[in-house]
Amino acid sequence: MNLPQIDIAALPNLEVMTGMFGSLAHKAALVSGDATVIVITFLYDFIGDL
Amino acid sequence: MQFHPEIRALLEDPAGLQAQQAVHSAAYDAWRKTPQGAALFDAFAAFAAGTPLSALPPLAALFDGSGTARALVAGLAAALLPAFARAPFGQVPLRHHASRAATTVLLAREDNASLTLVALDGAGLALQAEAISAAFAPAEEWDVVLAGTGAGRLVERRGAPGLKVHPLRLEPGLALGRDAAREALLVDRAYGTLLLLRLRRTIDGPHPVREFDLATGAMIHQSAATARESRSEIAVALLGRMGRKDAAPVLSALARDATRSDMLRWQALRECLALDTLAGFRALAALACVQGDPLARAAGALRAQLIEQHPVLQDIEPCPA
Repeated sequence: MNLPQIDIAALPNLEVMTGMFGSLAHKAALVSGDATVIVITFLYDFIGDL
Repeated sequence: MQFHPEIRALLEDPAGLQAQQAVHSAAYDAWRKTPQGAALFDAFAAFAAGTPLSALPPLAALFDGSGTARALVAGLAAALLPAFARAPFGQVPLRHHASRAATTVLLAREDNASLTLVALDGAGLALQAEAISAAFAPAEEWDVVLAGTGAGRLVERRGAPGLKVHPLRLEPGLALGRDAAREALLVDRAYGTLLLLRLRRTIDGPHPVREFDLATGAMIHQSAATARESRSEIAVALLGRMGRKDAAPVLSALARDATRSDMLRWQALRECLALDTLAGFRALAALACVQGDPLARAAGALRAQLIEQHPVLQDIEPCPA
């Protein structure tokens, strides 16, 4: 079967996109809320298992 | 650049600097081996492995508001501070992060669990804009106030439209255990320094962190709940850019793995389709048939779109589930 090559740019994304781990729209929530732990574990989690 | 003579001496003598650091490491190791420290870390390891907090008295007692947590942290400080007198250029061997508003010290971390000390500085908090959003993560979280007072909000998300916001006075002994997917804690003000001990266990799974606007209740952002999901997403994109057609079976399996996040699975599917049309389309067709899968509808729509553009794809059977 001779199949076409599909261009990834032509493939749709999901309606609601998901940001990277640790990203938030408002930084204030990061400092004062639950996510303070994310700041400290962010780099270690990213590079720790390499 | 000018250096203090003691610092210059240490720069020229790395062994001396290492000896200073060894003093701090020894102080911390000695504390870990005390009955108090050993019991805590044993319990924490079991907690990280999934044991309920209620089954781990040495850990649970920290979050019952009884003062046990304060005694633990006082013991830790008493063990570590003398090391600074002996070796002022060493560092406490615990990961830490400091900003104007918050200083965080990671006491323990294993798998998805962490135990941290969080010190919020009132003057630093006052400099930043008040939080107008709250983030809800798939995690269990316990907080206890060790010292200081402050004002915060407990934000509830119970599935109904909008959010319920409850004002909260933060004072020593206040202990909160929360399902962080449903309840978020915001600290708006600290009078002086507010010291919290926080235990957190993230739940593996496909659910992202969701951030909602406090005023309208609308979702304004979502992000990956674990670094693993984002790291995998980067790897998927990289394999695509490298043209690694041999990765198509892995990408196909990832796209159909309902334990991973929607975003990661969809990106794996897109890359798979671009790298290997047959493998990608078989994964797409299989996904479109899975009842209840959150991606089934989008997969069905994409399948129909691609068949319309390339009728030859109609004859491809889905890969087995």
